[in-house]
Amino acid sequence: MRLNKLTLKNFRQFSETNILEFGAASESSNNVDIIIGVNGAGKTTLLSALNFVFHGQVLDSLENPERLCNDEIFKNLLEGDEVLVEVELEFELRSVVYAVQRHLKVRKQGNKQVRMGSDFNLLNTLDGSLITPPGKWINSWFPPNLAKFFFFPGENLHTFFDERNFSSFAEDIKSVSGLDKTEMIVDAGNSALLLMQKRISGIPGEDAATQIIESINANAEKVLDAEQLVSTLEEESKQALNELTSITNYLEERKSDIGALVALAEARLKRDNLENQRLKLDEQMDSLIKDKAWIPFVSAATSRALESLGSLRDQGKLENSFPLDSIRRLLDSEECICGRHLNEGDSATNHLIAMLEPRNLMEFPARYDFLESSIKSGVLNPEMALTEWQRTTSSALLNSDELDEIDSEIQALVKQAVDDSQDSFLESQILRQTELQNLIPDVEMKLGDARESRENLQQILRDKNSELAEAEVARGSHGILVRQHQSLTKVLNAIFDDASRVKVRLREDIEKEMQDLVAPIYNYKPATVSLDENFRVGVFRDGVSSLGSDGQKTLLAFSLVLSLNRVAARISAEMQDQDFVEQVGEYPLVIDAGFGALARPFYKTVIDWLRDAAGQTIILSIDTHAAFVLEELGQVNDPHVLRMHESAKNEDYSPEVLGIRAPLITYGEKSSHTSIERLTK
Amino acid sequence: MDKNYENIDANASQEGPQSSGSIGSRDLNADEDALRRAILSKSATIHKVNQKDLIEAIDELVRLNIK
Repeated sequence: MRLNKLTLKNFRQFSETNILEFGAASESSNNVDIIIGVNGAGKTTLLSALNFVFHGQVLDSLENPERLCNDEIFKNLLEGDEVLVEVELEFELRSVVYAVQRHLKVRKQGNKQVRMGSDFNLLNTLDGSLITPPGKWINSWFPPNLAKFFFFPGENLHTFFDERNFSSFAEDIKSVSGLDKTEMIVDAGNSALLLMQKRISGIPGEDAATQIIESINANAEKVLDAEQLVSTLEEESKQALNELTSITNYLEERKSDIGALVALAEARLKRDNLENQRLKLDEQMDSLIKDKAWIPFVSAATSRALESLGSLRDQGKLENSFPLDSIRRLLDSEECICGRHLNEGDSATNHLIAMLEPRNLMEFPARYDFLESSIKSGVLNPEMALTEWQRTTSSALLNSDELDEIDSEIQALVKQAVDDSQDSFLESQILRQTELQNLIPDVEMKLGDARESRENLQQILRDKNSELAEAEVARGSHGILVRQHQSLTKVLNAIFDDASRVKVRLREDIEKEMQDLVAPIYNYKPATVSLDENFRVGVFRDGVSSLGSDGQKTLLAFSLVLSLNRVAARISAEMQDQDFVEQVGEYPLVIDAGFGALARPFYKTVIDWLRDAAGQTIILSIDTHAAFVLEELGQVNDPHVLRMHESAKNEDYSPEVLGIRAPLITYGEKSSHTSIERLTK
Repeated sequence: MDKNYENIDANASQEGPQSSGSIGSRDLNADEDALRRAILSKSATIHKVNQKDLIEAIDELVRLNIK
């Protein structure tokens, strides 16, 4: 950057329009402008004008810094009148000429200057475009804190290292280098991390989700078991119902057969009863047969009957055909007991055979005795007795027939039962039906319980799944936040570490730059320059820390500023990741005073430093110091000297007085106020 | 600055930035470097706003930069 032309109107000491043209860049010149003015002429005002036009600020060291309007102009205003305070600057940056202007409207209110608003414009004169917003653009390559090191108030430089001044200076260093931003970022980042940490701890993370998943898995197994049980029971119930239906249908078809079975059962019962009876009779008969006690009894009775029958026949009362002899022979043989060997075809014989069936005999003796006694007593005649006897024996035969019929019936029933037993399936179905009718309600009850249990488990599973969904979301947020926290921590560490390195390098670079510069200052003793963590400068000579005299302190301050404006700008560019700072050696260096405490021999040192440090140097100085500076520059052609002219003291200045071999040229109209003149060859 | 560096050190055990000096911007992955640049660049425009706004800005940047 190079300053070309500064125009001031109604700004502090400069009433009306004053134009200050700086020297053009030239290889033959020193690129040094010297602006000469007595105390109060407005040197500091010029420096402030530069700060004002770029950043809207003026130096605190300015007297009544709130009064920017020229006092003479202001004095002539009427109450409530307004006036424009104007500062315009033409400067060149990267081969483009820009015009920046700041106009401030001031209203008179008693003796008070009330600011009513301002205009701030920046014009690219190459293409005529306005740059907006101008402040942002300027700050991007020439922020206020950096400007302090180029538009430099050098009065009382020997007090530069005093505590109050230096604290501000250290802050500026941090600001220019971006370290203050880093500090704020890391601080804010830590707060952001704490906030994130709080959020993270408020969200259930991996563990919670895992617990729910485990619980769900356990529950899911139970649900599966329950479903299996329900399924099994349903199948069982279904099968039982199917079977029952099938059996019921089958039994319906076989209803008549069932009736037969019932009849069979009844017949069996009857048969059993009859058989019991027969067995009883058989036992009695067997018993009779066994002891044969009845035989003599029957023989005697029969003999008596035969005798009676013989007597009846003799009396002609018995048919001749009655086989009495045959009966007698029969009775003589024991075989008659069985009666089976008698001749067939003889009805009487058959009749007797029947009569003599052993099973009937047991009833006969008593009956016979009764009949005999009835005959003898004449109660019965023999024919009637015989008839009665026959009836008795017939009755016995009838009983025998009945038994035979029953036997037949049993035979039939047994046959039927045998047939039916081939259909044992029917019987088993009836039993099965009963079983099923008992089983099904039992299964249904179990099924109901199982279904209820399954429903409960499924509900629990649904609840757990919804819990899991929430937990999954939470786990996701948790994971994201944790990753964010980790990344932010890493990023802040990186910023912090980069800043730490920058800080260390900044100190080392400044130390190095200063070390080179200050060597001649303390030439009688080797000196080591060292900056502490707060950028506080220390100079050690023979192990003793001392900044030296006021002159040495002034030089030290110069060296620090010159070192800084090189190093800080470079680091500032790095810290902000911007390519905004062009070669800082090209920036103009404007120094207000600064030579006051310097011993004469060191002028050359400082002049050399300045010529080396900046592409354009503008020195604001009182006459005496300017003369010394000019002496140092005298060998160089075309020194560019401007004099700030106060009309009242105009005669005090001349090239001769100043020892300057150059005519005086006055810029702007002379007035009762400061104007600027050019001194040149 | 030093006060804050100490503050950072104090936070180290709470997973805050550490002053190990081992993590420079070159050690960051692309996303993280983008976040670093965004924070630095954001800070260039918000350096005058208060700490709360800066925290929110960083929070927002983190949200935007890290999926």
